[in-house]
Amino acid sequence: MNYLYLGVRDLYLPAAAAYMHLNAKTRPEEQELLALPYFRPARKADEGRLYRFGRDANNHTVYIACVPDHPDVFIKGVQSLLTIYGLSPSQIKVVPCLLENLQLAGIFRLLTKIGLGSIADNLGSRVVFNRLDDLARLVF
Amino acid sequence: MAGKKIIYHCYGGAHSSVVAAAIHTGKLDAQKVPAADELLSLTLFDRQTQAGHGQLHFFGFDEGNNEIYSVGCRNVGGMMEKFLTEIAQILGFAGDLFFVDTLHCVSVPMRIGGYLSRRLGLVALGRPLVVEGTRAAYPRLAALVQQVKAQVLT
Repeated sequence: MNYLYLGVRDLYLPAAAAYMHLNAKTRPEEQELLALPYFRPARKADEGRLYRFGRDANNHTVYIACVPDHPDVFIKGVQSLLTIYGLSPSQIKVVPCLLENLQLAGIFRLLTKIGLGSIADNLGSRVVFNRLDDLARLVF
Repeated sequence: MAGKKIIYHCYGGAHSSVVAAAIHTGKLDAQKVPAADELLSLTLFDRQTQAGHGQLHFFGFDEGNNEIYSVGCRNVGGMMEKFLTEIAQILGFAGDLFFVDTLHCVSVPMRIGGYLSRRLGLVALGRPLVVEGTRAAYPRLAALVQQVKAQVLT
C-alpha cells in the first residue's frame, strides 16, 4: 500500500503530514519540520511530480506531491487508474492536504523569489501548526 | 502481448476526446464526417458532467490491442499526464500510458456550445452548436488519431 499526501501549489502541508505519518507524531517540533527535505515553497517544476518520503512502520511507502489546481480531478484519476489496472483502491491512498487560502502559496513563492526563503519556511511552519489538528485527523 | 493504454484527454471529456477515442476504435469512420445522430449516439458525447472529470472511460481496443480511453482533465491536462505517468511508474507499469491532448483540435463553436451545454446546462442551445463545431473539427481530430496510430502501432 502507498500513501500520497497531496497539496495544491504547496508542499509544506503534505511534507508535514508525511513526517507525522512516518514518525507517528501528532505534535512535531518546528525544527524537525524545517529540517525536512521538501519543507519548502512548491515550485512550478514540483507540480505533478511525486516525491518519495520514506516507509512507515507497516512497510507502506509514503509520497508527497503537489498539483496546480483541481485536486478532485487528480484523485479521481488515480482511483480510475487503479481500477483499470485491476488493483484495489486501497493500493494508493491519496490524502488531500489543502491550504485554506491558496494566496498563501503565491506569497511563499514570492518570498523565495526575492531571497527570503527562510521567512517563507517560517510562515510555512506557522501554517502547518495552525492546521496541526486537521493534519492529525487526516493522517491518523 | 498487452498493448498500451492510449488516453485521449480534453477539458470536459464530453466532445473532442470522446470523438477521437471513437475514431481510434473504429466506432466512427475517420474518412467521413459523421452526421449529428452518429455523434449523439456516442454514450459520452455531450453528456459528461463535472463530477466525471478525472474518470478514465474505456472505449475499446484498437487493431494493435491497445486500450483506448477518454478523460476530461479541465485545464490541468498536461499536469495530469505527468502525475498519472508517475503513479503508473510506482505501480510498476512504467511506459504503459500514452496521453493525447485533443484540445488543440477544438473549434470555437465547440467551445461555446460545450460551455452552454455542459457548464450552464443550456443543452437545447449548446448541443446543436457543439455538434456543428465537432463536425467542422472532425478532419483535424481524424488526422490526430491517424498520427497517434502511426506512432503507436509501428
